[in-house]
Amino acid sequence: MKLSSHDMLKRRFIAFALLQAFLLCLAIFLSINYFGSAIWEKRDAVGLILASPKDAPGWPREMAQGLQKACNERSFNLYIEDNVNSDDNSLARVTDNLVNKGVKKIFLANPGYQHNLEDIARRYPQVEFYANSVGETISDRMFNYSMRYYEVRYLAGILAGLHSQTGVVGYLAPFPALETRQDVNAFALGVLKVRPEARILVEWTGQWISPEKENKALYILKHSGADVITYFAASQHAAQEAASLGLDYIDFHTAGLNTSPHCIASIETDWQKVYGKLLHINGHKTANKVYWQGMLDDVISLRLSPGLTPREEALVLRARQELLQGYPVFSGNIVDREGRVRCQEGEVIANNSLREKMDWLVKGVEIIETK
Amino acid sequence: MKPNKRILNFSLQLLGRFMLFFAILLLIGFALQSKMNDSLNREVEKFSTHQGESLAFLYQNLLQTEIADLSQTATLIAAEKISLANGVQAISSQGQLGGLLDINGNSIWGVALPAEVKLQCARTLQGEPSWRYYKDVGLLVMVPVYQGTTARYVLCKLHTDTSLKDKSSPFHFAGKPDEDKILLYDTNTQRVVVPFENYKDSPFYDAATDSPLGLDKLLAKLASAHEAAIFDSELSADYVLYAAPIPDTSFIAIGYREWRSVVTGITNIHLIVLWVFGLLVVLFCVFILYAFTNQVAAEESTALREARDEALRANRAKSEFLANMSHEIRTPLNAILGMNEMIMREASGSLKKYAFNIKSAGETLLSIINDILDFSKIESGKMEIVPVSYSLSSVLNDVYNMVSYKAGQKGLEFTMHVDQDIPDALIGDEVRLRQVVVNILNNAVKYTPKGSVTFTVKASGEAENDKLELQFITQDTGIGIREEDKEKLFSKFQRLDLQKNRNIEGTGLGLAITVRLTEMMQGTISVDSVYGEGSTFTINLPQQVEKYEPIGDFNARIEAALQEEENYRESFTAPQAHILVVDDNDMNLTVVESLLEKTRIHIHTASSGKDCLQLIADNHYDIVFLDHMMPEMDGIETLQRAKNLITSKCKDTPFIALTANAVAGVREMFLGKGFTDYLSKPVDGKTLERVVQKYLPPEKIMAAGEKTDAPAGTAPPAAPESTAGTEEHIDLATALKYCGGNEEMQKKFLNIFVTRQEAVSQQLNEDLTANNIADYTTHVHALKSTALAIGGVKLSECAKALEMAGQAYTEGPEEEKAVHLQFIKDHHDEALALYTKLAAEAKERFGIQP
Repeated sequence: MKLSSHDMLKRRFIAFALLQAFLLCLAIFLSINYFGSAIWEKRDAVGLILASPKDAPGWPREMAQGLQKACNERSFNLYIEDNVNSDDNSLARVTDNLVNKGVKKIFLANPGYQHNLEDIARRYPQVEFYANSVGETISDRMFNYSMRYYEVRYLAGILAGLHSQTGVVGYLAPFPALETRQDVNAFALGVLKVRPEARILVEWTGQWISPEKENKALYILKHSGADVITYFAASQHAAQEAASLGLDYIDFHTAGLNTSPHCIASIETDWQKVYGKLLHINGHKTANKVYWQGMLDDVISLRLSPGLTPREEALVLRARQELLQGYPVFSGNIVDREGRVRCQEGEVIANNSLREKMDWLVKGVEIIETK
Repeated sequence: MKPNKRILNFSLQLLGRFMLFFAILLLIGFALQSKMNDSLNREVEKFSTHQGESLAFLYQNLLQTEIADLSQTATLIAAEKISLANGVQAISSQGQLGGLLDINGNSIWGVALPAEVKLQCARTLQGEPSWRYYKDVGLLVMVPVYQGTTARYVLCKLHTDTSLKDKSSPFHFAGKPDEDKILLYDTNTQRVVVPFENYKDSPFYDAATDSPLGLDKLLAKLASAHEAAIFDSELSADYVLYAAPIPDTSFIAIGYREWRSVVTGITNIHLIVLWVFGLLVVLFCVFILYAFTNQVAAEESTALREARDEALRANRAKSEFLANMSHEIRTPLNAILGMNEMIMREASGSLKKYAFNIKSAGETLLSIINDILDFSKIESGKMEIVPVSYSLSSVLNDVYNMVSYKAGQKGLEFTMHVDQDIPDALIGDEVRLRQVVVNILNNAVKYTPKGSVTFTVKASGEAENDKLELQFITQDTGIGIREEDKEKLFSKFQRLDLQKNRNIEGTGLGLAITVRLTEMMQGTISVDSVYGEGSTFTINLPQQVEKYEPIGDFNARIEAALQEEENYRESFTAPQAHILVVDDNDMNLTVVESLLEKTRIHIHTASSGKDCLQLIADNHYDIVFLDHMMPEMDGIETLQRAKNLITSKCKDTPFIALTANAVAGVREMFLGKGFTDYLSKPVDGKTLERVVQKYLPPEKIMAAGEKTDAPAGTAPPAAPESTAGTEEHIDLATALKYCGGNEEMQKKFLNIFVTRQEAVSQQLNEDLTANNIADYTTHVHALKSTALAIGGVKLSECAKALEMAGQAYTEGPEEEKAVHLQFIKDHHDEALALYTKLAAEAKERFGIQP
């Protein structure tokens, strides 16, 4: 039946009225529902400060990605400030930036910011600052976090000692500092544990990144008879050079295993877990200011190459098992290069001492002086 | 649509709208309620998280104190101030077992511990003095014993499981039974470390998972927040759950708190808000109902307004109908009266008496119709008050003439007292003033069976701004008005005391019209009456004064006027006067010429407006008589042109209209159009002479000298009794009346009339053949007047009928034209036949030879 225009109009009018009523209801409902919700739904935010570009391969990227994942887990917003120079006052500027964005915690990826950081931290008592270092400046104004890499170095030492044909292993490090000495000593203890007669050659390159000096040092190490080396540097250059020289090496970067067959193991850090724990800290409540996480926290590990001999693999895994069960690396008889006893049987080097006062090297470590 | 269905429809619509609004309100209400509950719960949770926070803080302090105590002992041991055994002893007490471990976690002294404590030992040695809970063992705390840069022992203390469950344990916060239920939970072993009393029997023990109630949800919340609180009716309707982790341990403190104790006053706010909202809903409903009712009322008032408009329209239509009817009735009534006049002249004896009765009834009817006409004019708002300069004495004169006659007829004494100081020249609506006064006086006469009627005129109020208030007091000795009837007195169509007054004619409109007219003139009317003794009507009318010339002794003037009236027979002559008569009808021209012959006035005639304009441009006239109905250019148009004519030599000349249209209001119409006066046709000699005498400059008027041969006596000489029976068409009496009783003149008229027969007949025939009804009407109109002037009453009537048909044809609606045309055709020949018969009779009776 065809409707008259009057009926059509009437129907249209009714439909229009219903639509209006519906929209009105919807508007009222939504306005009531979302009124004031913003207060509850506000997300926490954290910031990350990097010295290098956040996409640069190596630690920065791994740290940024790990933190991002940890934030995603907890629905936090992450603001990253990269390319922040530690020498000028750009740290203060980016900190202002981040605080204005409402961040609760600021993580600093690189050591070396500490000196400026304390003043800045004083300005923002409501913000928690996390400096990536446990050795140097400890302040009640900020938190320190780092990894007990020495535990993995110890395992690396065991692997290097087992893997070396010549009984000579090399170690490339930038300069003698607390952290590098911890690592070198742990490495040496590992090597000596499986090969008491082995020589550990340590070469100080003097800089975090210095391809020339690294090349030179590796050359010397090779000619000193070293066939397995490891290193501590900000770049992976040393690993590549070692591979080109035909030296087996233990990489200090996560992706090392994929680059060369000469890489027999690599140190891995689960940044997501590291930051996850830090994010969970209630800074206003805890008395603990230092977060030095290690294998017991399951944040670092040594990843082994599949090409290792069963003996090498078994002994390394056994040592790891011991560590996981609570074996302290720096325990038992430890004598330094000067012959002083640093630790006796049945003792363990105290944590504070380990962190702040490691100004010695284990007996058996040879320093190669370069000119 | 049927009214029932409409009401139902409307009610449904109303109900529907109401329900819709109500539903929306309810929806809003529910949304608000849920939102408020939500907010409230969030607040409760927030509050409870604080509770959890402080609880955690409490535990933290407790644990740290323990560690501090232990560290102190460790320092003493390290410094070898006390022996190992004593150190261990020092920290032990009831339920708290001290112990010493080596760096690998093996017990050296004191409490024996399971192997799994090795990991805690390693942790402790890594610098974290720590708490761990071991299932079925208890709560264990460790601190390293540092000796210089190394550590050899680890000091520990175990709170056994049983001691933890005991109320005396330091981890038990002594609480009243109605306070919060608090417990300590270890996330590592997923065990309750320190339960509250009767934990396993309380509703907060979830037997299915062997864990505290709501643990999963709390833990999920804690994953992303520092503290957590849950109020979930699924878990517990009355209790809020809250939890907070204890920093630096794997423990969380969990509490259960009664909801009511958290919200306390807030629920009141909740209730108040809901109550207010409810109130608002009620108010809103009331408002909506009110609005709907208003809408209904508005619709009703629209209907009422429409009904009122309809009624007003109907009333107006009624008024118009009445006016039209009255007008229509007047025409035949005029004929009846005219015919009756004829009968009265010719009849005698009882027949004459009957005719006289007809006359009396007819005149009454006419006056009633005039009243109705006036009233309907007032009702429809067409009545206008036209203030003009007038002479009060002239008005009073007329009044006296009219009333004294009637009073005299009834045998009443009529006396009139006029204040001598009243100015004579006033400005006001003379016609209506007269009507009002005459009405009141007529009423007085009508309702006074015997005695007297006294009419007093006074002027009250000072002559400020040239204004004064005329007061007309009419006192009678009549029947009076009952007190209860006074209110009805002035309402229309009301007649009082019908029983007593049934023999008195009237429409009941007289006073109503009087009152309306008085009001229209800003006057007032009041009545004072004693029933049975008489009434006094007082009318106050404000009038403007034109000249302060007192009216003088009015009674003396009346006397003088009466005297003058007597003397009027002495006619006048005005040999220097010139007048112009304009009429398309030759006969009318002749009539005027003849009537004024004796006055020796120079008379010029013109047969059309055009000629008239020509003449007034060439000559000066003292008076111009202008016919109204003329072909081409009618009287009104001619007058307007004459007034606008620059070359006119008659700028100040009075123009007097001649018209056959003698209906009420015509006078006003002509005066309004600029005429000085008007005369209705056919004119009779006396009236014409009086008008001429009135408007001629006095210096041109001379007394009539020895005109003694004028016929004396007011009544025209009795017409010779008719001998020819019924076949006489010429009424000599009528003819003589129009000829001032001059038989010679009558014969002259008749001669012209007969002479013109052929021309007129031809003219009419031509008009009809050419279907030129407009001209036909004009010509037949002329025939009507001339016929009457020579006494051809029958022909005049017939011509009148034709004229009316012609008018109806030209002015009336299209569909009736045919009827009117047919009427004209039917009666045209009759009129011509009558004309012929008249001519024949003229030859026969008066020996007229054309």
